[in-house]
Amino acid sequence: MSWTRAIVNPTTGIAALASLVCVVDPALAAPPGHWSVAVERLFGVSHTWRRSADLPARETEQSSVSVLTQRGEGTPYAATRLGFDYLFDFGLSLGGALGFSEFEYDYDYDDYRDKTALLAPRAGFFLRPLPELGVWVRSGLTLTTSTSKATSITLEVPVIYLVPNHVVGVSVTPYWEYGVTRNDGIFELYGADQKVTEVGLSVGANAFF
Amino acid sequence: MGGQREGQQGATACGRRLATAGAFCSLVSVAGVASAADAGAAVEVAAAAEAADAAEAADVTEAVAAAEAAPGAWSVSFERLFGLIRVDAHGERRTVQYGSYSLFSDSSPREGYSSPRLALDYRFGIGLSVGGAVGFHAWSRADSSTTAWVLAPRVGYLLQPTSWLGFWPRAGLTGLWFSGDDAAEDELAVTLELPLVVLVAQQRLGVTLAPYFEVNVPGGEDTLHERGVQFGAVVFF
Repeated sequence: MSWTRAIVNPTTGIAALASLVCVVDPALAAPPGHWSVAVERLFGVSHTWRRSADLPARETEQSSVSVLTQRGEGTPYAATRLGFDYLFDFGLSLGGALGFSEFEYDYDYDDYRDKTALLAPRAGFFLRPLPELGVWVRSGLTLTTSTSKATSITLEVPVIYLVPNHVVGVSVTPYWEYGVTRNDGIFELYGADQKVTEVGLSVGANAFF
Repeated sequence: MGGQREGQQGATACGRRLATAGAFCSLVSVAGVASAADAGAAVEVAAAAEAADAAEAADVTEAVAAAEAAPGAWSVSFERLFGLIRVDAHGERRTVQYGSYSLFSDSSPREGYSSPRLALDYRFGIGLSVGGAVGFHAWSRADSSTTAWVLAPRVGYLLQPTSWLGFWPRAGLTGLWFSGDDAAEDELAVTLELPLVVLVAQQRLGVTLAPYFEVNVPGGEDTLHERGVQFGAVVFF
């Protein structure tokens, strides 16, 4: 069994999260608030591998660097989004991001209309080693449909600087979107035909209430 | 507005202090007439003194809280996150009308001037604000690469009719510069926007709903106009 399959197995993830809950001192896990609303993937760096389902499979790579805005052609996971999470006193968090859009091009000679959707449920654990520093280990799924469909297992670790005497924090988030397809066991229903994997470092912000 | 509020609070606090001091003096007089050795009167005097101290401390706390609650001079905005967009492009190269709507995330193609961005503004005491946004994005594939710059300076005026609601009319310019392997494009627009700001978290955080117009500054036969309503957030420091 490869290590990627071990990650895909949900039992492994649940066991790892349960272990974290058990071993961490509650004082170290106290979140700054029970609710978090975040602006995520605002800008940053990323590298994307895309493998089509065609035979022979076509593989392409894309690199992106953005500062203070995200203007370019995005990959399926690049869209700026709002994330909502609930944090328990002992550090466990449940939440996710979702989004929807519809667009239309009206040319003189033709029309084109399409819809996009993003659903990214997740669970995580909030660690607070310092009063002004949070480390939030999160894992979940990201399902997207745009001009093409992509699904991934998401692992991300936002490091959050909590502004003193304020409700907001600035987050720098290393993330890994491991692409899965219909052929990957339990993802037969939700998997995509193409495999899109991405690693990156994104900047955003959180507000805790 | 902040000055008026502070003045009212100051007057209220002063009134409370005078009333408290008057009560305190009355108690002292009564105590003096009766007997300094009267134990009950002494307890009352002590209680009155404690009450005066507590009232003064409460006034100071209120004043500090009010000062801390006012929106700060610096603000960082997260803009053009999602909403409605309408773009009209006319020219030799292309003629197209583009429209989109989005909720919580916008994965649709980027047309016109809008893109999620970070902006910084400084607000003077009179309400005038100066600031803007600047951004850079470069992306590359095996056979092509593209670079984009965004620059959007602006001035505005923050009106705050209530403690939780603000209007922030702003005007400025938005410049876009694209360069790629195949083509390059420069666009410049006059930007008018009227963000409605709902302030939460002791006026330190605002949710914004911003109607806007981007009117292309004609540089030739091609034009690119945009209008819409977009959601965002603003953090005051």
